[in-house]
Amino acid sequence: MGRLKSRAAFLAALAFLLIILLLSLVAAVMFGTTPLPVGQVYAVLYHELAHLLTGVPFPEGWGPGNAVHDVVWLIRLPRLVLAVTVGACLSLSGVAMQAIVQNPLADPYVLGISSGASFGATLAVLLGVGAAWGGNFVGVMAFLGALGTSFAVVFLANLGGRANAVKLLLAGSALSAVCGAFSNFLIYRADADRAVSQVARWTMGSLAAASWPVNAVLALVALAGTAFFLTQCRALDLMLLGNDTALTLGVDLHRRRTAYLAVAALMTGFAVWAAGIIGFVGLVVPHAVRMLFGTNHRRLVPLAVLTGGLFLLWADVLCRMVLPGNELPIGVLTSMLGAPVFLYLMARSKYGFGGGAS
Amino acid sequence: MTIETRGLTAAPGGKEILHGIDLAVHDGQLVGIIGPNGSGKSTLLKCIYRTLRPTGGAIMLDGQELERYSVRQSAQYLAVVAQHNAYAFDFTVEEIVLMGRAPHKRALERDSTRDRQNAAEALAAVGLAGFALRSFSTLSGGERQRVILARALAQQTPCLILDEPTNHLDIQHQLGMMDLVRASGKTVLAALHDLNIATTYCDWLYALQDGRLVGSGRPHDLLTPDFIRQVYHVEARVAEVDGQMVVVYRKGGTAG
Repeated sequence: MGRLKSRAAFLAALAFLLIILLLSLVAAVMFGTTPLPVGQVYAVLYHELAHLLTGVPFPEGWGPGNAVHDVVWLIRLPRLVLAVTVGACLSLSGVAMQAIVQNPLADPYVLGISSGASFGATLAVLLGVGAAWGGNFVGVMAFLGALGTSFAVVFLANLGGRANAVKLLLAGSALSAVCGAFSNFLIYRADADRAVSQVARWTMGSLAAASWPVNAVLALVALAGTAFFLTQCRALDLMLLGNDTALTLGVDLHRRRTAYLAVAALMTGFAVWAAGIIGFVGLVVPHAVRMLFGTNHRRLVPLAVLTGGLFLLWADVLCRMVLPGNELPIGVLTSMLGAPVFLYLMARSKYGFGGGAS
Repeated sequence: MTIETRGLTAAPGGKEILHGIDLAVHDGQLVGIIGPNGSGKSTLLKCIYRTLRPTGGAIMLDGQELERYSVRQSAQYLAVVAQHNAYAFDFTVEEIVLMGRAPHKRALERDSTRDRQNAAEALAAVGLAGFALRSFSTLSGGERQRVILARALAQQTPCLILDEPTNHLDIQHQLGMMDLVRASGKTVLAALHDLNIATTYCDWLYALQDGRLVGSGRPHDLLTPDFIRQVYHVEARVAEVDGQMVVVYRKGGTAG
């Protein structure tokens, strides 16, 4: 069995992950394309925190404008924080979608929702669609793209009978292909080089555009999404037993399913807006957490959020280390890691998650 | 607590399957629904446990129309043991049984020590006391069925709906489950395949054929050889052994 089922084990894991996450943020800031002395990196962090928390002015040569300060505080750290928030959002969306479609194979990428978000963003960037929504209209369009595809996938999979794994995956990959084709068509037709490279960022994923304002938005989305789903743990558990059973246990899932889908699409949409398509995080992370801690959402939700953040943080570090002098797009790496896991899950005759049977 | 249907019709998938069913389950009674495959037993039960919306007639729970109860309220009155209980995700046995407490919980309320105690008692009642931390997917069909019964018991409802509850069980556990249901004192409506189980345990039987009620009565009044032939198209004899009624089927006795 080997599953850590007790409450003590869960709380210990929660504390452990939080501490590791904080330590990782501090440790990973050392990794980058230009090597920086350890002492200087931490001096920057120390002075920034002192300045932020107590208002102490920066010592001479340590404030904004200083090269080391800018690399650490305006490039490296925001990027790590973005990795954590995006990872948390994607992982939690995965948990929610797996419950919504009652299938452990669901994930924003596999179900085509990331492609929808990317298509929305492409429309916004290349054609200026949705500019009326103001400065953040690219994000709004990514969100609408995610929302539109997620409902379309579930609707298509429910045509002619209840959705099952095969229909969901087919609907997801078909819609993913459609969105991808239209995005590529727009990119092909576009003549602006800058716009094309900006769109390419969306299709392969990148955390390079991190900044504190973007992080603030993503952190807010991740926190709000986590808080929301933490209040829904019982319904999420019941959802996995199916509509009929949930109904006999006093919970009508019909409306909740729509609400959960909207929240999951919101998180995916913002994650795509900030970092492009990063696939399979929502598949791999919840699966790993379930194997160790079981399916109960009261544990799964917080642990998947933290593990997702941690996973993407180190995945991004890895991306910067693999190719000397260059970086691997993070979406490429997560797909390389995640697709085999997906195939493994699919090949198993039954999805008896949580150890025991297998 | 009583369950009643009046002129109930249902048409799952557009085709009318139930044609005006009137039945009544009185307080504390164990009532069986019998009838061949496809006669509408499950459809009837689904209407009562609300996963299928009737197209006509009424269902009364404790004298009030079922429609007036919220889903949560009716789940406080009715617990269900249905047939299909295979889940794609793995829960522990205890987690499954604790879900029976859901209708009694407010949105953010956690499982209390009392809930856990309820779950443990229910598991002990179905003979699975040591199974709390086992993973549901590793259990046999019969064990799963008993876990689902434990969940229904943990739900602590005055009524119980059973849809062929003894399907996956060996004879020991068939009798064990029916003994438990009988002893619970709950108002029970059960669809049953096995006529001997039905005669042994039920106070009253309703017989369905092609979505119509074709008979009702005390088991030994209703189940005559003629009636069994008419409903099931088989030749059978009815005997009494030690004061208990038994149905004996004749080999090759299907009457076209």
